[in-house]
Amino acid sequence: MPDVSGTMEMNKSLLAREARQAKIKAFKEGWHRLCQNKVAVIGLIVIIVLLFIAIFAPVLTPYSYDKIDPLNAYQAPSSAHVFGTDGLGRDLLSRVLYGTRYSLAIAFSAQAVGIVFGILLGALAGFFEGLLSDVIMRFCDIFQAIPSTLMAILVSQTLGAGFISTTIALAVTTTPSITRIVRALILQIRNQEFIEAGRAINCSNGRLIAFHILPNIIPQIIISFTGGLSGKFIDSAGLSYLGLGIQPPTPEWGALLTDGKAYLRYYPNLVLAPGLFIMIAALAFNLVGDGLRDALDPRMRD
Amino acid sequence: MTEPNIIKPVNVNKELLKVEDLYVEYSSNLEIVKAVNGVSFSLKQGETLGLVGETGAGKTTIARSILRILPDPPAKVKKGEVFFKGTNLSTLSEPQMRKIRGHEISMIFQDPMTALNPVLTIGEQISEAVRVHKNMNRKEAEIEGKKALELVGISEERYYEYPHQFSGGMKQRVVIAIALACNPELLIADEPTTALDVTIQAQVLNLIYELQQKNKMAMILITHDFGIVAETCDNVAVVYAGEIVEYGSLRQIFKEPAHPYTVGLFGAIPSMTGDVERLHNIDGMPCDPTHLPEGCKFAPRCKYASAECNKPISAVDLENGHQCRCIKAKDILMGKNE
Amino acid sequence: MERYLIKRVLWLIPVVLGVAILIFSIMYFVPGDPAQIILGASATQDEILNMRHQMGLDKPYIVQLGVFLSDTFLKLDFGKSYVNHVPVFSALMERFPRTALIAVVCCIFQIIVGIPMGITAATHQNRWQDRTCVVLAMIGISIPSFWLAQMLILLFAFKLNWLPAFGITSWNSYIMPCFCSMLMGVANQTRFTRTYMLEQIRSDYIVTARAKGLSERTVIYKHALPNTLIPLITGIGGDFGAALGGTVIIENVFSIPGIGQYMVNAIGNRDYPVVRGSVVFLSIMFSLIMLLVDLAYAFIDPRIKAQYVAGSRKMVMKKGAHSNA
Repeated sequence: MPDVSGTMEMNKSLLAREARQAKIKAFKEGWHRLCQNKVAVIGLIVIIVLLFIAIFAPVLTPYSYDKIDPLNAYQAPSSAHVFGTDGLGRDLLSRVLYGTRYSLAIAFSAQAVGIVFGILLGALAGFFEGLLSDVIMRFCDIFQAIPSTLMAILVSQTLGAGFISTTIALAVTTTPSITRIVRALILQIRNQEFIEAGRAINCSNGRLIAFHILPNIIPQIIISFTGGLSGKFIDSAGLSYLGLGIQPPTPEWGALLTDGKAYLRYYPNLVLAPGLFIMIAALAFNLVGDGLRDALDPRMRD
Repeated sequence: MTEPNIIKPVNVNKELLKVEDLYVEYSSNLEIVKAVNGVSFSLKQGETLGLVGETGAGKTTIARSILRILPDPPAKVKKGEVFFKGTNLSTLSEPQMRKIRGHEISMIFQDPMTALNPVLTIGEQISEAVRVHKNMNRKEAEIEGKKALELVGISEERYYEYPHQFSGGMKQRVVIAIALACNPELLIADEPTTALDVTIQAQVLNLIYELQQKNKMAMILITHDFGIVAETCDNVAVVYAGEIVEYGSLRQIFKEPAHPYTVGLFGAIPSMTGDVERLHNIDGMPCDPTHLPEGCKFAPRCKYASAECNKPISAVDLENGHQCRCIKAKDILMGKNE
Repeated sequence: MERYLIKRVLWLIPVVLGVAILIFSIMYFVPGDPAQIILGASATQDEILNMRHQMGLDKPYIVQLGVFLSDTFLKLDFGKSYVNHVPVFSALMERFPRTALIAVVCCIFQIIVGIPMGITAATHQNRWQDRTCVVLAMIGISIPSFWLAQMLILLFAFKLNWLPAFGITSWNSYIMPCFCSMLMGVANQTRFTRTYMLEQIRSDYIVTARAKGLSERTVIYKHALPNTLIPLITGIGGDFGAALGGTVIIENVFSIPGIGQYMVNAIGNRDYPVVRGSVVFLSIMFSLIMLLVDLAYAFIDPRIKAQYVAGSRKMVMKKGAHSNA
């Protein structure tokens, strides 16, 4: 009687290895495709520049971002102050550059927290069908019935202004849609044969999840992460504008907009500069997000 | 039942379609797939040609090139021409080509589940073909459409139903009805029964054959199933890696296959008579269409291959119109006869 | 068909209830004592306790929730503003038309500008029309609408003096707010139309249609477009919700007396019934719109009429897949 289980083990690990190699090849192809997408590459460069600015802000800024100089308040852009100065004489360029740290940090953390919870909930809903899954999906329905800006405002008001509360407020708006996506993906993958094969060989649930299911949802997660990131810049700025979110004197871009909003008529540079940065960041992430989607989603191939 | 058909004299010597030296490539950013590499064949009125080969051999590409419905960004016809009733289709403008599509040359597709538009009634999908080509108004086209349904064995009350209300086999009949609504002279059937249940396959195939005989249509039948070929085709072209590696009449191909690939294909068919230990499959993998070998494309898998096989091969003429793209063909045939 | 309609309408009820409960619960934890806010800083402890008792704030959470739900849905009593004691509901009703106008204009433009742009981009893939539309759309989704609002005010009101900067003095007060509100929606619509259209164009039934000899125009507008509209309509509903959310901030910038401004001022004043009532109200509006969207499906997609059970589940999944997380 031939040793069937031994052969099956070998076949299984062969299959798994082939599958991994195919995945790696797919990633390489995806990366290659991304690099061919000129606008996506531009976006990527901009993001790297922004990260650079964020990390090296203290070195790059000509003045300290909180250096108050009341005699030089409301200066128009000049060679001394490239973006001009604000109401307390602080150099706007320095504040905007330093604010890159806060804005990037908020956007990334909000998106990351939102996605992590989304994956957890989506995985629970996808794996364990029945009451748990239904309850989670109903919660998603209800959360998504509230327009996301309003939800963010609501949560932000309850938790108050500040970094952590804003992160939570923004994360809450991301989680429901990620939950749905992850759940749909997991339902799809669960029913594929290689999972059944794994179970047939007594693969533990944990192994199944780690080695077979998670790798298949990674491309979509990457796409969702970058795609939603741009919205976070805009939403966090919006919250600041309303008096929630991050408030002055923290030089987060939204807070800078709030600072300047009363003086729009006379000192438009106060509003122009931070807004421009928000737009550039959002655009860069949108371009990269779209490029990633095109690169990793085989259906969009030409 | 039908309006008086213009009786076409079936002149068996009249050439209907001629494909000459066709080369088609699919190019993406990363690579170029050489799908069709120098295919030539011709078809006479009323004749049925079987295009046989594995998935990916290029059969569908050949078919779509005839109608010029290849997806244009990736696909490009690099070389070659298609003549239909003497007219060079490759030089026609789009509007001229549209007059031919669905009217003089029609096509049936492989997957009936996705071949129909889900949001339009099937009646609408049949009659629009008629309206476009025969200049009829809605009412007249509806009558024609219902006739077409009857021809394929669907009751005309179902004219107003939607595709999702039909089963797979019935959907394929609708596709056939659409294709035949304007009485084309040439029907290209791209694996029309592959996606259907075995029990339905026979029905649909019979239907196609009947209608073909009735309308005296020529047909190109694309399939990977030799059983179907045996029942319906006059001539057979075996396709491998975008080339026709063997061409002949039904009898020639079945009784005296000359190309090692064809021989291999027959060897892989289970026999109803006789006891076989294992099916002989063909060694190796189908070649990578992005990196095709210079000479014979089958050489890497061929047990008869020698050094000469790596140089470009031209077709070898065997008797009576039987052609083969293998320099060892004559040897193989003789070897068999021993 | 009727069963589908009824099922969808009935589905609305638990969702709306759930929304109200969720909003109430979130705001339950807002810091600050409402009684104190109303009475002001000089109130005594006793006065505050009395007020709390009057307002029912000393009762347990469940009871307060129950009171809130029955008031809101059975009596349409959204409470009174802490600041000026005006019933929230009547204030909402008065302000709603202005907010709705902006959101509706936004949706209309999404359809008449966004969809054609998306079709143009898809049918001219990789040529200049496509690239232009995509670039414009990308910029459109990257601009913060309230920042754009400020820029436009700067240009058209302050510098050029063509349009009014604040308030609703005449019909052209709505021009800039509507434009700012619709930009992201139109841009999104362009992108999604393009994506879905490209998907449809690669479908098998389109090959069948072309093989019939139909004109390209017929193929795109009669065959591809209806199938594209199916996922697209969900998007329009979703964008309406986003527009409702966005107008909140835009009304603030332009000082338009709609629900958005009402709500934002209330935030600053810690006027919680107003905030709560506004969000509940807008969410209900949003749910109603999504209901209309789902009903529209049934008209376009004949499969839905037949498969309402499977259909409503598919739509729940589609919603998730469509939005930009």
